[in-house]
Amino acid sequence: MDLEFQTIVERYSASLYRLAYSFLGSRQDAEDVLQEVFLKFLRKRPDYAEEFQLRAWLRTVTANQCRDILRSPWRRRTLPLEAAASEPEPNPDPDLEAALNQLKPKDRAIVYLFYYEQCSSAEIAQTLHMTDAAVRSRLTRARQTLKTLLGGDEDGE
Amino acid sequence: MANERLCAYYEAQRPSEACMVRLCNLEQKPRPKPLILRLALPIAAACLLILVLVTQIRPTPEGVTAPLATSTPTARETLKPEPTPSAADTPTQSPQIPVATSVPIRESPAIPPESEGGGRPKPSPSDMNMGSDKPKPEPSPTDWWWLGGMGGSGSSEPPSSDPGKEDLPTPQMPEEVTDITAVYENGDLIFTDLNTGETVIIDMEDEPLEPGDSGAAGIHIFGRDLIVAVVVGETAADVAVSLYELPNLEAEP
Repeated sequence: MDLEFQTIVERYSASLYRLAYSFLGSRQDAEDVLQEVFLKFLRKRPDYAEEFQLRAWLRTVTANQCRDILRSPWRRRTLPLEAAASEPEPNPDPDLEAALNQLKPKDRAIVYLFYYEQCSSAEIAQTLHMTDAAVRSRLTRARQTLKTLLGGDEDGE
Repeated sequence: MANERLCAYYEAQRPSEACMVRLCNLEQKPRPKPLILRLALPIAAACLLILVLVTQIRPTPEGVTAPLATSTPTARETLKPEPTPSAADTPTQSPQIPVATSVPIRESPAIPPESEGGGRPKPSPSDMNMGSDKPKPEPSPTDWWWLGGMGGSGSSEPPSSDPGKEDLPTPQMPEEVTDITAVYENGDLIFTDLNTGETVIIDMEDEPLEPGDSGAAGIHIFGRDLIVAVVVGETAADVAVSLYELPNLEAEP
């Protein structure tokens, strides 16, 4: 597979940005992670025969980068100021966002990958370095939380 | 229903245009490093080199800069200052700097007492072939060569030897004539040929001999060329007259 870098950016930037935003809850941090992921891509130039392999690699790198940021003591210390200064994300559904923010970062990423990216539990487990059972367990708990927060009619399916 | 709400929510999330521009420009060549970063390595190398040179070229205690360290000795060995020579050091302990010792002076011959304070001793008159300091020789009839000119009362000083005329042949002593006698009596020089008994008298009244006079002159008597030498003693009566054959100057080379 030999795709132009700009083609890859246009094809995967939005998906990776949403994954990063699901993890971090910050527009600025998500864009920083996106830039770092593509820099790594340029440095390593992974050559995969199939496109899904490249997509999986990009998702894994994005998840690892988000995890590193979440572990960073610097981000934990400066998060309130950055959150106040960051540009607000255009939010068509504030209630849903508020409910999602009640979930843990990794649970938000699982919900995004499962419901929007249509990833299987196995793919999610591989991307987030988890077991398949743990992904399904976390997904069940996240669905129950969202059902509770958003009302009885939200079943999550 | 719930899936559509979630998909609508995620669909609205997109990176900003500025972020997309930055991502598309990532593939371009990285910006050149700032000038200070590009020059940092050469500057650091130059500073290190200067530091090494300054460390090696340290001034020695004598103020002489030591040479650069070569491959044979190490830098510290080359720059090790030499110990300051003390008064007890002998010249053999510092062979690099030859110092004039007092050995040749001690071995030089002692200065004669008469030359003390006057520097180099004066050479003897004989060494210099000069007759100025030579004591006046006792007048003798045989010392014909230092007699004065004709007339008897000439100079009594011997002819000074000329150093520039050393190549001249030494005159030979003429033989004294034994068959002719001469006496000075009453102001007359009387010559007598012993073989024939013939006598010749020369009146010396015009040039009377005085005490201390001496001289020689040529005279032609008895058909022969002779030299008459006259030496007057402390009194006018003490006169010694000698006759010598005139050397054949033409036969001399």
